[in-house]
Amino acid sequence: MVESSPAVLDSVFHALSDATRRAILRDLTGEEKTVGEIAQPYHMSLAAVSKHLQVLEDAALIQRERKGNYRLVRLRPDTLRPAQEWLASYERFWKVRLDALRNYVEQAETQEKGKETE
Amino acid sequence: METLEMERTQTEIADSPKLSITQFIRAPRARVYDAWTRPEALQTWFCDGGNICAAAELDVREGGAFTFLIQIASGAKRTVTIRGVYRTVVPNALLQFSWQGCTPDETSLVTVSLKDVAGGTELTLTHEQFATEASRDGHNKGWTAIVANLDKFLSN
Repeated sequence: MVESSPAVLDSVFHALSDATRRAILRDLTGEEKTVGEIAQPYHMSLAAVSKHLQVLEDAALIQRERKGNYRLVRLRPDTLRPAQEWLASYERFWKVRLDALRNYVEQAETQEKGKETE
Repeated sequence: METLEMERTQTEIADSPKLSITQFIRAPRARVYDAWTRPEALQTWFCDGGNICAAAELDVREGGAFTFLIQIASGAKRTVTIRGVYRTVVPNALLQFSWQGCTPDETSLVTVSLKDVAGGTELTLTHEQFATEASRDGHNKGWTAIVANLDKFLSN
């Protein structure tokens, strides 16, 4: 069971609230990259990309490490789990309600049909 | 450049935290739509487990607001208010509304779409664009209260 402390969720959702940062995370799925490689698809300065990376690193969504002459950036997918669990709780919320909706609507429909055939 | 940025934002909204649920209902679309848009109907199904929908006010038109007041039955008696604004209203087909949940500074987007399928209606509900005023402003707070409140709300 992953500990989903509110502070972790705060920083994860904040990090995910930006489209560029989400795109960077997706680019890092399955492969490590240098900062230059990460910046390449975006029309922004290395400094701007570094700021985004800092937010992602603060949220523990990525980690940077030195390999020889390179500094590589790697995804830390486990950090996303608390956010997914939070979403799952909302999913349960809606599932219960949509079941109730179905029961309500189908009952009303049956009653209506019953009246018609009387 | 600006156009590029906009396009990227629009297509990638789908990648933000999001949940999607599909439900089959053995009734025509109009009846399902009625259950979402008529206050007395909504109050009947939206509250479960002994909770009471104290009130539901629905101004179903684009730009119109809605409010649900839910009294949590067990434990300390509390009222949870959910409010939002209808963004898209297509009768018997589509409802899209903003959702301000357990704390006022949380905003997200709910889309309910209805489709004819053999024997009834297929309802798809999507809940996405979770963000807090705090996270939009770049402050690291806001979710604490939301998570705590949602937990209470759901466990009641």
